[in-house]
Amino acid sequence: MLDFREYLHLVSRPEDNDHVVIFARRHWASYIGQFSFNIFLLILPAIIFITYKLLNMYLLEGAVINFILIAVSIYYLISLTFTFVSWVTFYYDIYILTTRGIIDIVQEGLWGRKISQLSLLQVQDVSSKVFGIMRTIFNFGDVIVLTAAEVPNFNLEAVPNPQFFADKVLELHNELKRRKGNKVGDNTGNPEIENFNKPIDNINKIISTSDASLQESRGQGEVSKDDLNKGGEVKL
Amino acid sequence: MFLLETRASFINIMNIVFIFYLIFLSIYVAFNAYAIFRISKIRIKGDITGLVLFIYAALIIAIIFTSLMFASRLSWGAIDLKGIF
Repeated sequence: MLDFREYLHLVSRPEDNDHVVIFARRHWASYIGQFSFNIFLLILPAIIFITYKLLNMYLLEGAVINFILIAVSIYYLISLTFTFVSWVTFYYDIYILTTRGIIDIVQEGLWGRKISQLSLLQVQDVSSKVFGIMRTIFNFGDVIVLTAAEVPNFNLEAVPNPQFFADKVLELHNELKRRKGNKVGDNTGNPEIENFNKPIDNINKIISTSDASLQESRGQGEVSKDDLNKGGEVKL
Repeated sequence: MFLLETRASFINIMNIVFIFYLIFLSIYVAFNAYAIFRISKIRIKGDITGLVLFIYAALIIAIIFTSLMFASRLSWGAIDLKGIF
């Protein structure tokens, strides 16, 4: 089982006996547009230079070259940093589904990060949305988690295989709710009550179910999972 | 005489521009050193952050080195980098 304490630097205080079921980042295809723009920014000076050469313009003479050298150097450095910041913003948008809750980490540039946590007990409904050609081709989309009225809804964007993610949220929610129901029935002397704070008994079953479904999905080329051998971590 | 004065003031301007450029580089390097430090702190075991940080730092060094190498071939007034590069 993946030790959740590895993510202590991401979330403040994970609950005891909490285990990561799904660890997902934004789908790489959602970064294609930004990446293309960054590449365009990086090759733009080369395009301008070639245009100058083709038009036989001889403005690049004398002391103008000094200014152009500095301008191009500064331009490339800033463009490079811009590209890096956009990558960080993309790569550190992380969605973690645990046996007890959902953690949505949104990276905003280099200096900003928003971490939202939601208990699965507060989940009322989950829906997934795959809209558009790119999203349909690469099978990624949004997962909208509807919560109790006082808690804002969770909108997880560009989640790989969103239907699977939504199904797993509901499955874990029902499991947790069932156990919560058992705890409420403490007066009845139900033997399961005492184990409520222990790890969910059938977590291995849930994870193995995920494993089987992922294996099946991977056969269809929809899901890749390379890190299941880490002990339950499902990477969509 | 006018041309000589103009040329002299232009050289002084280029000198100042180049100094500003060096100040920019200093601030830029400091900013990115801290940014890389911050990103390396939030990395997750097994992700590709280390590789990306390495590529990013290598590209910064390459751009700065190339710029200074070309700059050494140009005239910047009182500043002479030909002895360095």
